[in-house]
Amino acid sequence: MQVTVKLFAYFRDNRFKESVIAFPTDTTPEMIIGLLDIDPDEVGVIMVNNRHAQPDLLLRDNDVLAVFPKIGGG
Amino acid sequence: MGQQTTETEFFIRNIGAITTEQQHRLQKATVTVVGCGGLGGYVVEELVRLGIGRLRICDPDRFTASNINRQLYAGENTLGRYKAAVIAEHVRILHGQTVILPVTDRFQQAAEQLFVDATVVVDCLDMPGSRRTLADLCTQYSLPLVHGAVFQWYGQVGVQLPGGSLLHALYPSPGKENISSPAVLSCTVALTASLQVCETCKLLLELPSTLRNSWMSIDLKRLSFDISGTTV
Repeated sequence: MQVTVKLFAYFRDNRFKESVIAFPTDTTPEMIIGLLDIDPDEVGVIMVNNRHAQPDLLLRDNDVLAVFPKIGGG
Repeated sequence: MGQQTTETEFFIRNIGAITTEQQHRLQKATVTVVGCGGLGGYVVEELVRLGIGRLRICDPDRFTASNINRQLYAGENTLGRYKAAVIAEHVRILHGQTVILPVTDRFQQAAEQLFVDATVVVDCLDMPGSRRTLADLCTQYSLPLVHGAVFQWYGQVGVQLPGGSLLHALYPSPGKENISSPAVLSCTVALTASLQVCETCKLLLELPSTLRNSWMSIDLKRLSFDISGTTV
């Protein structure tokens, strides 16, 4: 299945801003986050098709996954 | 001998962007700024120049040398002094139309002073856990919260209306506290703070905004701005 993966803020550094990637069925956001070598503790918001989603959601073909880091500084 | 000035002259160049009636509303407002570091310094400066009538500002920290790269009032002459006290001194010499109350306790210990008569609260904190606590206090006092956060070239700004859950969505529990001394550029701080002030002004004047229980992710390295909602 194809999933559009959108990364935000510093998650884009040395990765990409947006990419359409083929994954096996039953792939979850947390699996993609792991494959991209993103520390799960640094993830703030996960959205699938513009709605908040849990890390263990089963993704479907043509889903759009957005991953935002926790930005905490003031 | 100083030039004779009036309140009207101080803010005459606001008029046109806002009406005289709106200017009076800003002068009747009370805004509480929690955190007087990078974001807080710029936020206070701009709120005072907008003509906000009363400010409550809160930070238990003192200026250190590593603040100088991005915190407006951090300088060699203010090192070791309470941030809130230094900012209040600066505000008082700008003009006399803003009454400012500096608080050097933690905000959790000064909730009555900070929140009872506030119109809007501005989140300029630097730890996710504290931000969640502040959001809970705003819910308790039924106050709108204007959130801002920064890291390196990246920022975010959002508005949580009373009863909303934006901060809990941005910082889901349990969460690791961010790096204790993150790199942040002054330009990232100033831009993010300015957007917080824009949103604060619009809340006070009841003007519409796309940031209502939603937030904007800011990427200044690639110059992209993305607004997201909090639909769960």
